[in-house]
Order: sequence, then structure tokens, then C-alpha cells
Amino acid sequence: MELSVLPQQIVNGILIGAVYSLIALGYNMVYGVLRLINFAHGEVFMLGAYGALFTSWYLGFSPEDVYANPNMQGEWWHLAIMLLTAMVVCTFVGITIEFFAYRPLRKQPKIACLITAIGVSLFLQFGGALVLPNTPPPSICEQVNPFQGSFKLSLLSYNYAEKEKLAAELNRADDAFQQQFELEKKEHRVTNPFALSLKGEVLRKNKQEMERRYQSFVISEDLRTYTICLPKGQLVMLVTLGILLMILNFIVNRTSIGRGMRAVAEDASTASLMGINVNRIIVITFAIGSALAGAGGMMSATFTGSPLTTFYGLQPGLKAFVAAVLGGIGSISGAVLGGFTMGISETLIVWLGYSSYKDAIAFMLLILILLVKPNGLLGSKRVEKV
Amino acid sequence: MNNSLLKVEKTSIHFGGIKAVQDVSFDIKEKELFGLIGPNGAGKTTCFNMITGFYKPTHGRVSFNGIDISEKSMSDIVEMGIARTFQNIRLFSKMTVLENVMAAAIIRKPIHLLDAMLYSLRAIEQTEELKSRAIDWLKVVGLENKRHSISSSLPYGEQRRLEIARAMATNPKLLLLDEPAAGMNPTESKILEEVIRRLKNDFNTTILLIEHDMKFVMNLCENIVVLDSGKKLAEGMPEEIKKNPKVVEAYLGVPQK
Amino acid sequence: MGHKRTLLLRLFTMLGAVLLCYAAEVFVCLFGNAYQERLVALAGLYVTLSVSLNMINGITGQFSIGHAAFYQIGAYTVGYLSLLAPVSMGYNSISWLAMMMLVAAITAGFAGFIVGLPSLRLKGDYLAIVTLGFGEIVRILVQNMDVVGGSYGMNVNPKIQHLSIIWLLAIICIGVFRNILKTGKGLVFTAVRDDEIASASVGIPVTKVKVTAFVMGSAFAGAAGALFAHYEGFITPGAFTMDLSFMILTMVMVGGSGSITGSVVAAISLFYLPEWLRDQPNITAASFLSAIFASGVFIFTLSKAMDRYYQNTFQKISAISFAVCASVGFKYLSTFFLELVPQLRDMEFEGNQLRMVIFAAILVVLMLIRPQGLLSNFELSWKGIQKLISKTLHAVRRGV
Repeated sequence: MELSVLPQQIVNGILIGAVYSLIALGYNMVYGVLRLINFAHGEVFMLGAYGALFTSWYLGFSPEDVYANPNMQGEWWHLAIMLLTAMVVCTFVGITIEFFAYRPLRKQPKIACLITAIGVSLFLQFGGALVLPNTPPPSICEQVNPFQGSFKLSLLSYNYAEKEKLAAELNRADDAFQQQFELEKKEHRVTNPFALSLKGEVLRKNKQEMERRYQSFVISEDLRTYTICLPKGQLVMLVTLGILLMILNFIVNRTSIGRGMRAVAEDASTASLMGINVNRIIVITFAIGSALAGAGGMMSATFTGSPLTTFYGLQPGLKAFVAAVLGGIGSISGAVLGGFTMGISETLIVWLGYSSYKDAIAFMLLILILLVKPNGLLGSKRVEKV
Repeated sequence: MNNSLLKVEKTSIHFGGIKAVQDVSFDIKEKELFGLIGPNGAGKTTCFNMITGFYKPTHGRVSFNGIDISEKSMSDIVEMGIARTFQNIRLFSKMTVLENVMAAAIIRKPIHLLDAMLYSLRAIEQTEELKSRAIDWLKVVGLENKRHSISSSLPYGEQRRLEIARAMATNPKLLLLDEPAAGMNPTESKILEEVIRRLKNDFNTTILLIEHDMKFVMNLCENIVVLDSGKKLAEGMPEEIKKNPKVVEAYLGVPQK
Repeated sequence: MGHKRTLLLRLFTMLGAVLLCYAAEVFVCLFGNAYQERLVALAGLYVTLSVSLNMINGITGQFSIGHAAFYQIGAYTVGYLSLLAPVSMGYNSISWLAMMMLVAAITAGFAGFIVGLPSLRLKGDYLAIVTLGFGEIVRILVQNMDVVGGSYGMNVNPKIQHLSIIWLLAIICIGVFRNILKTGKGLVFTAVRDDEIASASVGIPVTKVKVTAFVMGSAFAGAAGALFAHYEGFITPGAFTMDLSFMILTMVMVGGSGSITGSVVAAISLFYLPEWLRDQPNITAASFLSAIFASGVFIFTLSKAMDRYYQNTFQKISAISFAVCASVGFKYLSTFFLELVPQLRDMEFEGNQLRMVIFAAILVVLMLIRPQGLLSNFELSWKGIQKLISKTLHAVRRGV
């Protein structure tokens, strides 16, 4: 629980939060139009990561290629292609799931849909494990990522002048002491630096004092001007998130499709009476939500380089769901807010030293939120009617 | 001299900025047939929801038999003796007709959970008694022949009557009927009228009903309150209400000058 | 007079149940090996789990998907107590087990109360996700508790392997819930499932009913957990994951939410299905896919046939046999065609890997074709059996 790593942890939290927001957006959009928690959304995320993996292999970054030629370096357009493929793959997966699993159940009670969603999720996890490479867990090799390294950021500038001044003083004091010591060694055959004459004693004390001052200055200055490490790849991720959000915002607020979505979210049956093709809107919503999850999967797998299994989407999926509820399910800005809150609170838990409770905290937060503010931070309240 | 059974005093209900009910008060005396009418969106059903505890009044109080019930839970209020039906029928759709009524009668004849778990003799007896009570109520509304059919398979008018039987099975002193004749054909509403009269005369039930069918209300009710956009517009006997220019205006609009 | 007879009958039924369980244990011990014995024991536990979840999910309509948590709480309560009293304090094994079951049931019931009370303000999918979260929280907390061995698990002493007690618990569980449903009290629970607002409007204390269902369901799960801990003699948090909850959920849904008979049948058959698969030689992708399709065909034809031909027993039986024939036929046909694709013919899976895939597929296919479950609300009862026997006898006599 070192205070000095707190800023870094918050930054890490924001970076994780970006992925959570991307997934949470899908949850929220689907919930908005269908009133259904799409449990399989985490698996769409996982398939996005796999899509990116296969694309990277196809682009020449498979483990064998990299082994043969370790100095390969990806370009930004490699990443762009991977992102696009992941999004396209996920769009198809999302639409397929909607068509086969949810559409036939439109008229059934919500619980039936929920169970189907759980079933689809389990099916993709365990069925995927049969066909997708997962032992040993493959990962997207880091060579494909041109944005290596990280920016060092310090909020306050380091006081080098003061440090040098102190260093110089320390040197001078040390020199003076050494001279005296040598002198006394020659003259009085003193071998122990602690048995010097009075003058030597003063010089020794002085030197120690200078040493102490120098050290404490360095420590305090290190603390004061703690540098935050910003991995370049994850910065790219944040920027991409921003761009995607802008596009999404445009679609939802400025296009006829977006107007349809908002109408269906408000009241599907009325919307259909107004001539909106509800099924089409639902498919588009699924497509957009899944594409966002795919983008999240690609970026998470590429920039963190974590190994992929078919359970890759399980924890992020659940946490993003919590994020969606936290922000207010059905609200787009809520998803983003919830995602970042979730990411930050998770890293804060790690910082507090309870890293083994990391996965539990999401659910505790969820239960708390549902009990205190069931509609989430930005969700709107619905009055129940008789 | 009848004393008052339900007293609604200066109640208001606000949903955010919308004032669904404002400063409404009325007084229902025992054994009275009381009508609550008004155009759509006047706040009648909200009033019902308030009396039955589904919504809590923002201001004011509702008292029943002199006891304040505005903060009580729905089931407590039923236990005190207020039962209701719903505008859009809410039966236990997967249960049979008989089971629907039994599920309501159980609050007057509670079966202990432990008895039920052990299927004790007492539980068997109580269940039998529940059944016979439920059948009695079905006889009152004329549905005893259909007791084994699934409630959602009944025709509309019978569903309405079943809902009344279910409400009556809780032995209420006050029965709230939310548009009981809505969507009924003349024969069905004739039967319903008979049923309601019987409930009042044979079972000493006070009845408060919302209705749009003016003929139905004017025939049946002894006292009427008219609501419009959440406010009380008029109160009185049917004849007075018919003549009241404000009521005519609310229903038909302002006459052209 | 009538009362005396009922009581006597009931006494005999109870004795019969005990004897039956004991006979089953003796039979399995004599003729089966340790592995088979374990399967029978675990099947009993699954029956208890799925019936108790059905009380919450199917009968009261509160969608809970964290049932493994209560099972785990029961198991770990017993585990912790066995640490405190290592030599089981001189009790004989059966009374010790009974005591442990009671303690575990109380603890798990209390946990059910804790979860139930606040979260029952939530409905449908929100409640589902909270119970799921609760399950995860319990598992992670136990994983971090060093007293009970953390994620490495712990030994539970003594190891008591009474198959009969396990099945007795299952029978008691079935009996208790059947009894409740047979009396008027059961209507209270089903009323809450059908319509909460209407229930409240006829004076049913909705929250109390829901919490009661939660407490009862979790108490039985806890008791099952106690038996599990003593049967295995070793427990780890890894045995109580989300997958287990989903498995129990599948059992309830397949059997028909609301039908206790369905839960029992589904629990036993779905428990044995993966075990049976484990014994099978490797399965090719083609035959696996065709089996999934065939199960879909089975459920589809059965539900369609049942919708149209349900007037009498004969029609029902022929509908079922028709569905069986159709699905078996479809299985062979589709296997033949799928094997034309070389990839599908050559790709092989171990039976064990397929377990969860099959569960998932069953869940999805079932929801698509018959969301109310195979047996929906059907209950097996003596009266029903008597009616069936007399009907068939009648039919036979008439036929002759």
C-alpha cells in the first residue's frame, strides 16, 4: 500500500477500464433494445481476441515466423487490419447468436432468453475449447505491435540543480574528511576513522550529515516527482476507444438507425407501430455491440499480450457487466463511466493488497450498487405500472 | 347513521414532476357503493394504488376504520380488509380457477409452513376447508362449474368475475373494483351488476368502483367522486353529478360559444 | 378412524423409504465397485440439489443461479467443525452425520436468508446476476481463508460414506416440497411465481414467501454439502464453481421448472450422461454434432406430438416412442452425411471434454423448443399411477 504507486495504479485502472467500457457498451446497447442480459457477450469478446490472433498469424506473425525471424516489426496498419477483422468476426458472431438463439424467443418470457444466453455462453466457452487452439494458450506476439515501450510521465520536474549542489557539497565534505584522514594516518598512525582528532571528528560528522541530507533529498524528490509509466500501446487503445465512442455517438444520435434504436429502447411495440423495423434495429444493435466487444478483445489481447484460452472472456465479461450495471444499464455514457470506475476500483483493490479478492470485489460492488441505486449511476428510473 | 370506513384526506402523489393526484379527499361510509369516475388519466387508478399501498402518498393520509394505512405494506392492508381487482386483469394465469381463489383465501386461514412440510392432518383439513370456502365464493360469481379449468382459458367476462371472487375470498370490508365492466357485452355487465349488488347486500361489503360505463355507474352507485387531471372535480349523488356543468365540461369539453 | 389410517400409512411410507435406501446401499456395496458406489451417492446429492433449486427457481419463480454457493457453505461448515472436533466426539457415524447435516442446513439457510432478504427486491435477470455474484464471492472468500486450506482444499474427518443417508436426504427433500405443494400453502409460492403484484393484492406477503423459499432451498443444499464433505473426505473450492451452479440449473430447466418429478429425473439422467460419456471411446465430431441435432429432433417431435396427441395414455406412449424413433433415425442419417466431411470424421473428442458442451447445447436447444422443460408441471403421484394402471387394465380388458 505504498502511496507512491497510487498514481500508476490509477493509470493502470483507466487502461483496464477502457477494455471494460468497450464490452459494457455492448451489454448496455443490447439491454437497451431487448431488455436482455446477453451473457454470451464475454464470449464474443473472446472470439474477437481469437480473430485478432488468427489475423496476426495470417499477416506473418505466427510463432514459427517470429521464431525464424525475431527482428520482425509490425506496422500500424497491421494493427488496423487486426482490429477490423476482429470487429467483423464479432459482428458476424453477434448476428448469428441473435438470429439462432434470441430471435426465436422474442415472445417467450425473459427468463427463457436469459437461460439461452447462459447456454450460448457455455457452449462457446467449452465448444470453442474443442476447436480453437488453447493448449498451450497462444498469445499475439508482441512484434506485431509497433507501439512498444512507454512514456515516462512525471507531474513535477525533478530538481536536478539542488541535487547536484548537494552532491557537490557531499563531495567536498568527503574530500576534506579523506584528506584529514590520510593526514592523520601518516602523522599519528591512526587506522580507525572513528579515532581521529577533534578536527577529524568534526569533518567526519559533517560528511555524515551531508550524506544524510543528500539521501533524504533524493528519496523525497523521487517520491515527489514519481514517474508514471504509460505504455504506448495502451495509449493507442485509449485513443481508439475515443474514436469508436465518437463514431458510436454519431450513429446513435445523428442517424436514422440511432433514432430507431432509441425508439425501440423506449418502447419496442410502439416503435414497431411507428413503422420501425424492430428486428432490423435489434440486429444492428447486436452488430454494433459485438463489433465494440471485438475491438476490445483485439486490443486487450494485442496490447497486454496475455495468453488466450476460450475462457478469456469470462472474467472481463462479468466485470464489464458489473460495469454496465454500475453505470446504469441501457445508458451509453453510463457504460463508459462504469467501465472506468470498475477498472480503477479493481486496481485500487490490488493496491490495497487484496489482490486475491480482485474478482470478488466486482460482485460486491454490483450487489452494493443494486441495493443502493438499482438503476446505476446514470440509468433512468422506471415507474412500475399496474 | 353509518360511520365512515375509508377516509382519504388531502392526498397527493407525485412522480418526479408529474402530479398524478393532487389534494384529493373523500369519505366512504360503511355498506356504501361508491363510484370514482373521470376522464382517462384523471388519476383514478393511481388513487386505487395509493389506497392499496402500491404507491405511498406524497402528502396526506389514508385511514381505514380510523387507522392510518398510508405507510402500510400491500399485504398488511389486505389483511386489514381492503381487496382490489385490476384494470387489466391480473389472475394467476397458470393456476386453475379454484386455485386462484384458494390462494387468496389462505390469508384468512393460514396454514403453518411446518404443517405443510409434514403434510400433517391439520394441513390436510385446512386445505379442504380452504377448498370449500373457495367453492362458495365461486358459486357467488357463478363459476363453480369451471373450477378446474386454467384461469387464463376463461372468457373475458368470467375472468373479471373470477378476479372479484378472488378479491372477495380475502373477506374484505372494502372492495375496490377497477373498471369491472370494461370490455363487457351488455349481458355480461348485467350479470356483473347483479354480482356486485349481491356482494353489497349479502356480504355487507363496501364497494368502491372505477368505471367508464356511465349507465353502469349511475345505476349502481350511491355516491360518486369525479376526478379530473388529478384533482377532485365534484362529489355527490348520481343525479347531482349528472347535472354538474363542470363534470359535463370535463367529459365533453367546453361548449363552443 | 381415517386419521389413524393416514398416520399408519405415513409411518409405513417412511419406514419403506428408509428400508429402500438401506437396501440400495447394501445392493450397491455387494454388486458394485467403489466407483459405481460413488456415482450412486453423487446422483443422490444432485437430486437434492436440483429439487431444492427447483423450489426457488421453478416453484417460487426466483431465478437463482448461484446454488453451488449454498452447497459449498454446507460443505465448509462441516469441514470447519471437523477441525474443531477431530474425533467426532464419540458419536456413532449416523447421528454425527445427522447433526452435521442439521448444522450445515442451518448455516446455509442463514446464508440464504442473508442473500434473499436484500436481493429479493430485484427481479428476473438482476436477481440472477446477484446470486451468480454471491456464488463467486463465497468461492473466492473460501479460497482466501487459510483456516480451511484456501485454494488447496481441506480434509474432512471422519470420512463417512453412507449411501443410504444421502438418498434419504434426497427423499426427504422431495417429500417436504411435495407436501408443501399438496397443501394450500403451496399455492402461495406458485402465486408469487405467477404474478407478484396480484399476490400482494390478495394479501400474500411476497417478500416473506420468497425469503422462505430461498431459506428452504439453500438449507437443503447445505445439508447436501455436509454429506458431500463427509462422503469425499476432502473438499476444495474448485468443486463449487459456477459450472456446478449452471449444471444444477440445467437439471431444473430440463426437468421442467415447477415439476419436482422432472427435477429428479433430469438430475439423475444428466448426472449419468457425462459419466457414461467418459466410458465411451473417443467420439468423432460428426457423431457428436449429429447427437446434438438428434436431441433437438427428439425434443421437437416430442413437444409437437404432445401438443396434438395427449388425450389418453396410449396416445402419449405412442408420441414418446415416435419421438424416440425419429431422433434415433435422424441421428444415424445425420452421422452418415456429416461423416462425408473429412474434418468432421477425423476430429475426435474425449467424452470428458464434451460434458459442459452437451449441457450448454441441451440448455439452448431446450429453451428454443420447449422452454417449459420436458415435464413442465407434471408430477408423478400414487393417484396418477393408480389411474394409469386402472386405465391400462381397462383398455386391455376392453381390447381382449
